[in-house]
Amino acid sequence: MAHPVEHHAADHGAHHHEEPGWVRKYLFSTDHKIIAMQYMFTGMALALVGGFFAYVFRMQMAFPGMEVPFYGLVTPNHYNVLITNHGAIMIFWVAMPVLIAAFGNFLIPLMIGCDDMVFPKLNRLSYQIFLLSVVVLIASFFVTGGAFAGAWTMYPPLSTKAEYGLAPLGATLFVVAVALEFVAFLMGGINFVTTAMNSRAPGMRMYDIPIVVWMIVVASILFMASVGPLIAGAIMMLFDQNLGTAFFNPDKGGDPILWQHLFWFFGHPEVYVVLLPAVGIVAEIITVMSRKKMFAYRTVLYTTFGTGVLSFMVWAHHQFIAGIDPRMANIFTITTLLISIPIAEMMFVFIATLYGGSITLNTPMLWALSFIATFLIGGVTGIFLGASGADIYFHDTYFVLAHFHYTFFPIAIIGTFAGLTFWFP
Amino acid sequence: MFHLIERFLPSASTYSGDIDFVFSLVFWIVGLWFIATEGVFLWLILRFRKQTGMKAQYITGELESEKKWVHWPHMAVLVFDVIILIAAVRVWYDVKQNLPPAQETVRVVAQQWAWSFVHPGPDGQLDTPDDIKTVDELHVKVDTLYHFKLESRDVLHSFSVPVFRLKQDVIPGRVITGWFQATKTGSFDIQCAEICGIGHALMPGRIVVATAPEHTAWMASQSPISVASLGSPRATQE
Repeated sequence: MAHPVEHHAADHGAHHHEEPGWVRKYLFSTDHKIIAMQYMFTGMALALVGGFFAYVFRMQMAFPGMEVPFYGLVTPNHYNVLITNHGAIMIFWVAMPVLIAAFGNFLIPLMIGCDDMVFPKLNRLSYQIFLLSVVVLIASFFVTGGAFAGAWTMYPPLSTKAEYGLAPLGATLFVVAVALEFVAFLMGGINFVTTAMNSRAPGMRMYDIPIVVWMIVVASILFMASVGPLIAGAIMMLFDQNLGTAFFNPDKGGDPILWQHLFWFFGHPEVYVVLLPAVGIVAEIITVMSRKKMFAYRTVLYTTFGTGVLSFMVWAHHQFIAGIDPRMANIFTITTLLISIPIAEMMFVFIATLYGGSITLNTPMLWALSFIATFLIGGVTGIFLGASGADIYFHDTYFVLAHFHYTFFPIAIIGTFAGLTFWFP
Repeated sequence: MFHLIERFLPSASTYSGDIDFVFSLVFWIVGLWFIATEGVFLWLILRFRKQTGMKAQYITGELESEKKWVHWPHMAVLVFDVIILIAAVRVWYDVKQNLPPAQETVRVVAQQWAWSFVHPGPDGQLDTPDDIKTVDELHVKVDTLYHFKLESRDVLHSFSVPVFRLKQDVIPGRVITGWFQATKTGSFDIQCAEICGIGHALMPGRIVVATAPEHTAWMASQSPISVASLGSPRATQE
């Protein structure tokens, strides 16, 4: 379907300029396919870092107090640093660049039939800021006081007060890295939405847009609409850490719960930001490999929009027992259980697409089918947690961890490999 | 069938059985859905695998007669959602929203990285000279309705008593009140459930549930500790 060796920009550039050198072609390119690969390779490299962290702390749990091969002794502080950065890296620096940025950049212009993104230089800047955020994150491991160790959710006051978190510089750099990363994806999102809405090939109507492009566009809109509060929160946190303000500091009248609201108002749509592109990839593969039309394309589209809208109304289910007004939990239980409907509908549609098909079980198809089989586990375990009564006990336990990994592993790893094996040569 | 968690962890409060019930209800509902969905999924993959002489059918899924195959299942999901919702909210209301009148009140103070507990002395009132203060060990009477008042001195912690199925975050700057009523005697775990710094893993506590005479005997054995020494709980422990 797509060939990364195609050069759309070559025809108008070739006459006036000589072939650009390696550095300009691969490092400072404005070509969407090169930028996609930059995002892909950076994301994959960081997946190895995040995976190594997981290996270290799981080994520590399997053999407590013993030296972990290739790492050494895991102190309590190291343990917290490792889980914190494993979480942050896997979500912000692996799932997002690979699923949204890499596949979005690669697929959108090719699938809707235009030369490049609408704002190619913004696209390049987006990757460069993303790279800067990676550098800042890695730098945070080598500063005095060590890396940030207050969990990827960065709940204050642990993250804001040096005497509690014990890593003042590490915490600041961590927040800066996260904020920079959001700025990068904000630029990417502007490009994805603008390109898909304005640069489609003549004759391609809204209902003709491939489902994966639609899903990336909806994901970008979700991201752009939800990230504002978090960037604001990150800046407030930086002020709290370094300038002595007290947005989240209860000693001086601030409220630590405010951060949780800002974080999860972004954090829950974020789940769908990475879920939707993966679902889109899987949808494309299943339709192609079972030689079928997508079952009820419009229904899928509407459920995608429905999921997007609902995803903004569920954030406080992360905070049922965090000290919010208990009456509020009832509303968020309703919305949380409601969101099972569009997601279940999507899964049913994929399964229905298989009906009457002629299914080729090649590598991308196996990845895509395993996505559905595994994601269902993540989906059904979510019901336990969304039900507020059961969540009193399950909050902050390994049940949450397992649920979360059963959703994110299919999304970030299985979805990515499905797409990679399907589109890349 | 509706006490699945109890196989692994004793149930020792008046509402722990209700919470187990919600879990078990959800377990059976989504468990059956899960098996049915995966079953249909695997069957379709096998049934419609590529075979010579078999062509794929043209199905858009836009016709009502076709759409019903995903429409009805999702209406069924909605019905089950409502069932789960009613069960969950009822338990939530009992445990978190409703605050039955207290027979005794204890204060729970969390800090990096210890729990300190203030028990009312023989007079049954907090903030009187006969208060009993302990570190990392909470003593309560069985079958008595307790209110707990949660306070934090520094960062977020979470007061978790797994056998009661009770969990509540502790927030600096606020006093959060909740309730429990133990139904079994014994000594059970308390664990901080919110990451709170280097010592987070080393922040366990115990809750000792005793009969009323045993509890009175325990109270008699304790001399009220002065408020000043509470400032350094580690020191009093060692």
